[in-house]
Amino acid sequence: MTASAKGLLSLLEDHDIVVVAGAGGVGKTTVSAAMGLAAAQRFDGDTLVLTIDPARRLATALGVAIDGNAAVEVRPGLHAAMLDPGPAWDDLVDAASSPDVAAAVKANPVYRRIADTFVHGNDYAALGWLADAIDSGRYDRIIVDTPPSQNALDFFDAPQRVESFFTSPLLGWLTGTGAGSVVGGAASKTFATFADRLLGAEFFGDVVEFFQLMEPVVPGMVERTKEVSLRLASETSAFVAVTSPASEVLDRMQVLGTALDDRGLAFDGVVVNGIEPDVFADPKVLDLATRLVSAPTSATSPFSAAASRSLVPGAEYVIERSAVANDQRARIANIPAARIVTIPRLLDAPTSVDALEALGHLVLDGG
Amino acid sequence: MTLLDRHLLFVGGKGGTGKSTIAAALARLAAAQGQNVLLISADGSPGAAGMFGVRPGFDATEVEVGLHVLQIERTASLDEFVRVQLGPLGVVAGPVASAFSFVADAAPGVGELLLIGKCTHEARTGDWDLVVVDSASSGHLLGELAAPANVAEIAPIGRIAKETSWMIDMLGDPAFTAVINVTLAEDVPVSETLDFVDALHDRTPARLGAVVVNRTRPQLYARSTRESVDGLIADPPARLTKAGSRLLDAVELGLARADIASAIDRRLRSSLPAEADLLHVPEFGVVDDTVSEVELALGDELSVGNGAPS
Repeated sequence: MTASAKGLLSLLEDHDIVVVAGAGGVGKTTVSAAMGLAAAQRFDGDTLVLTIDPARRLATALGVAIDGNAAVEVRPGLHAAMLDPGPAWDDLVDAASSPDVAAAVKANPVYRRIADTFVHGNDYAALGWLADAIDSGRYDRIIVDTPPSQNALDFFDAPQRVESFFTSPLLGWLTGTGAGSVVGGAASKTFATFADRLLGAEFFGDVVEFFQLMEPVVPGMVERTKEVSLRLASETSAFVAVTSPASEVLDRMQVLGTALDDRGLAFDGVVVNGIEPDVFADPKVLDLATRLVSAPTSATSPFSAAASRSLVPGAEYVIERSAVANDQRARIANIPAARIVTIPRLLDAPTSVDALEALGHLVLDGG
Repeated sequence: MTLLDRHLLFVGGKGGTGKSTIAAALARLAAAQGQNVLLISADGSPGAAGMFGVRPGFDATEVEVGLHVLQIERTASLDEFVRVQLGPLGVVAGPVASAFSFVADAAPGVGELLLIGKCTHEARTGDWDLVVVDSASSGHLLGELAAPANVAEIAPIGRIAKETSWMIDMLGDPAFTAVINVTLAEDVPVSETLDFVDALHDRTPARLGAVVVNRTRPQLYARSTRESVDGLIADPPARLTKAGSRLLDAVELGLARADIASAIDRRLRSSLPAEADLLHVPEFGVVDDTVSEVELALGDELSVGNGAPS
């Protein structure tokens, strides 16, 4: 069996879209950028890496400034873009409404903040943005770095959440489109009194206006993003989890795997980032380190007596890390996924394009 | 004054730095000193409050002597807020109360304000000597700490705005409240920590109490003995066994990791405000109970128990 059977090469060959998910701080953005660089080098056509990470790490890592939502060609065949949720929401509103309505929505004082804060607005904006990238027809494959999240499925569910938020019967009641509505209705005075006390009258008016303006806009917006959401769950898309070898992070990934399974989805690949390198998992090294610590001046040591003594603190370190290395390997062996790639713990996160590309090849070929 | 002499601690940091474990260990350390402690998980997951074998709810549960936990849920916070604000009026029934929760949920800054409101309210009740909050990642924590002032600016008239001034005072009292940032001895997390410290100062009333460098690596060798092992690695014995040569590789890796940790530490020390503590928690091997190990390490760092000044 060659190493490539373990890597994610075939996964990138066989799918148009690769969704990369994982907890915060596991190196998800770095792995996404690395895969993009390696894929652009190996395959014909154009690769796009979309990142929704609010820390904007990709730009730093690739050494390019990326503003707004436009993709930048980092290298021939590799394009990168970072989500700017504000303009992405504007695009969704523009596409789904007349210019007058769109202008009124965007001028509403609570619009931007509502878009930012309610029902994971970033996830939703990202789906709209992904729809544009797919429709442009410019890219042969798209790697999507999803927002760090307790539950990566939030990303898939964003259209449903937005739809149910805007079509709640309660909202109809509030904005005057449902039976017994507040506006002009019997409950109006009481409610407005409370709203005034609680939030200030002007603010409450802005909120109601916002929902009224959004009402005709929502169906078109939701339809567009639902298509993308379905596309991500189809066979043309692959799902890759990035995790650290820490037990609590691995546990969370397993929980996500179960939730995916409930929807008939599965991880197509798992990348375990930052495991202790093989040198710490070598039983001969551990054996020697153990002998050095217990009897530094033993005649069986390959080092002189003085050298052996000076190596003792280092050998103690090796013994500690060996236990961790073996523990990590045992946990990784229990991950139920067809393709598992391990990336050794590096001295420092890769920040040059060359280092990232080398990492990408490692991911494609299997570690 | 040490961290545990304050009454409200927000523990934040980038994902993957182990901030929940640090928050849990700090809370336990204070409880072991005899303080009555409330540990709040406020990042939408059971987090630190979930590390004691009990699923945390919205009401405080005692999990160890003097240590209580709760988890803030957005929906529960809203319902509680509406109940408290409108309840005395006696007409909060059915759709009116629900509509309020709905509107308040959509209102800018209200979610953040309710979260901060819950934390500051608990710290004000007098029930607790110390409230430790396992907070959301850095960006969100800044938004939450800035929320009282922001909301007061946007909705200056309503009842919500009236509630903000005491919160701002409490957050801005460095003897009462401190923010702790958890980071790792690596370039990117430390750069983010320094950005966070600047933004905290510029955008919120709260002040930095400490930076905790988690999973760091103390030097393996004293300066006096380091030279001999460096020499051995640079010029290994002739005809060294393969295991011997690999062992030298492994030791070299350990030395390089410790050197990087020291360099990062110097960078942090020279950039942090003088009044903030710089604390270190080492990287552990395989351990059964990480919270206990971290608690011991933080106890040493804060010199708790031996009476020495920190």
